[in-house]
Amino acid sequence: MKNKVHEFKNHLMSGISYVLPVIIAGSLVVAVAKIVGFLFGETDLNAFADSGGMLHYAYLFEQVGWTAIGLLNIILGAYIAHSISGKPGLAAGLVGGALASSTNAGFLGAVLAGFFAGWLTNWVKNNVKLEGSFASAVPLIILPLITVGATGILMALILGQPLGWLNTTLLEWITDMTQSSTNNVVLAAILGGMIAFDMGGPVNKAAWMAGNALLISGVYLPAIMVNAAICVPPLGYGLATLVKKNNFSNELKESGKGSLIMGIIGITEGAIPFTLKSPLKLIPLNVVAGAAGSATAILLGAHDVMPPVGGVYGFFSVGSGWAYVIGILVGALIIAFGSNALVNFNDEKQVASQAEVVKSEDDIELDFDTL
Amino acid sequence: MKFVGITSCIAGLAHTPMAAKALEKAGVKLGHEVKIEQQGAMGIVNQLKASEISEADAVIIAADQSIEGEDRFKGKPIIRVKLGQVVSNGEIVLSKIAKAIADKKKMH
Repeated sequence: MKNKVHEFKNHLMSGISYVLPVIIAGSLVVAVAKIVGFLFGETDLNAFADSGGMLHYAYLFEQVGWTAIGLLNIILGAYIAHSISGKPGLAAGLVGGALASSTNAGFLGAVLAGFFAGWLTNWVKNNVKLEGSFASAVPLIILPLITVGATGILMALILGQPLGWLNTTLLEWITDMTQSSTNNVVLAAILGGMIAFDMGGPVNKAAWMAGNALLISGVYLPAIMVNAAICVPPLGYGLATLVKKNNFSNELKESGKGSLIMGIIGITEGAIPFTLKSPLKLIPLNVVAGAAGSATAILLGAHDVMPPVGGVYGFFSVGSGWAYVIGILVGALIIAFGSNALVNFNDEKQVASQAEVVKSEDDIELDFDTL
Repeated sequence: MKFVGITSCIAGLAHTPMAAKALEKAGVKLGHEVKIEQQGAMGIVNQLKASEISEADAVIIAADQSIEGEDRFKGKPIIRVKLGQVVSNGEIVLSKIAKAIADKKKMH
């Protein structure tokens, strides 16, 4: 059972790893186009869909970004299926993901379609065998027909409506929830904490995906919460190396510079080398700081105006951008001072004996396997 | 002993190379030959050769997601480990693996 759960998570994460660059590129392109619009004093480029000139080009460029963002469900479905069954699963995964978009079944639908397509492909590979000269028809004709056909029937005819309803209801509920400022602060704290928890690991990516799945449905606020928290840990440790220089080894002082940059462009992974010095103390600190940073930004009134861009400089894509920056700074300062108070980053032995998650070989999990 | 392995995390930016370096460093320190293939954001880095795989005593897989080309390791003992534990404690992980493989060999 544990293995099944592990496998399920692995396939989902594989799919998400293929989605990452496309969504990041898409939201950056949309933001660049929007900024060109702002420079001309226009907030809505759709008005220039049929006109000429610079703003029409900006409109066209914005559509490029939306095209990329719109691929989310297709890529997710396709690469979950690919992860499960390899190349033969791609066709059904692609179609299933596309149907998730067209039926409004959304992110959940795409995940479901991907798993169904992958498992079905494996089943057909193992169970449908033709004799003699017909054997070669299986991979190119029979398998795609069965897998695409069945995934299509499932997604379009059977689950399309209920999943579409579920997705729409869920979106409405979340949209309603984001109308209340108390709820928003709580949501920000939860997403912010998740982002900081494992710095690029599965919990972090789950929160990131929640923000971006909502983004393609036009709900931008959760992505702002996520983006703010992403900057907090790396920026925090970068600042920590400046706040109390003699508390860090030369090696970590060097990492501190890199960590500052990663904080500014929004890569949580920058905090890893620091957090590893004493995970038991620093992971809780990161979570508190991520939650506090995100919640502060929302509390001060950061709100959505367009698909938000990650990184500290993403403030231009956020309403009341100053609140977004202050939120990040609050979180980062909690880490900058908290980490120096809790941990001596210099003394390797002291740190190692004090708070290692892994104390001996008994804590290491090995899982033996042969193919 | 000789080990080959694969590291792979979701974003493919940080954990993937960090875990690979941790295992390779541990190998130097503990006197094992270790080569790790990184499956990260830039695709496959430091790809394993078929000869390296066939010579290896065991395959170490540290991944948060499914990896590419797992069928290359057919018939080899595969040890799956947690990516996070490799990043933070590469040496302990490797020495435990080496002991486990040595024990297995004795039994045969």
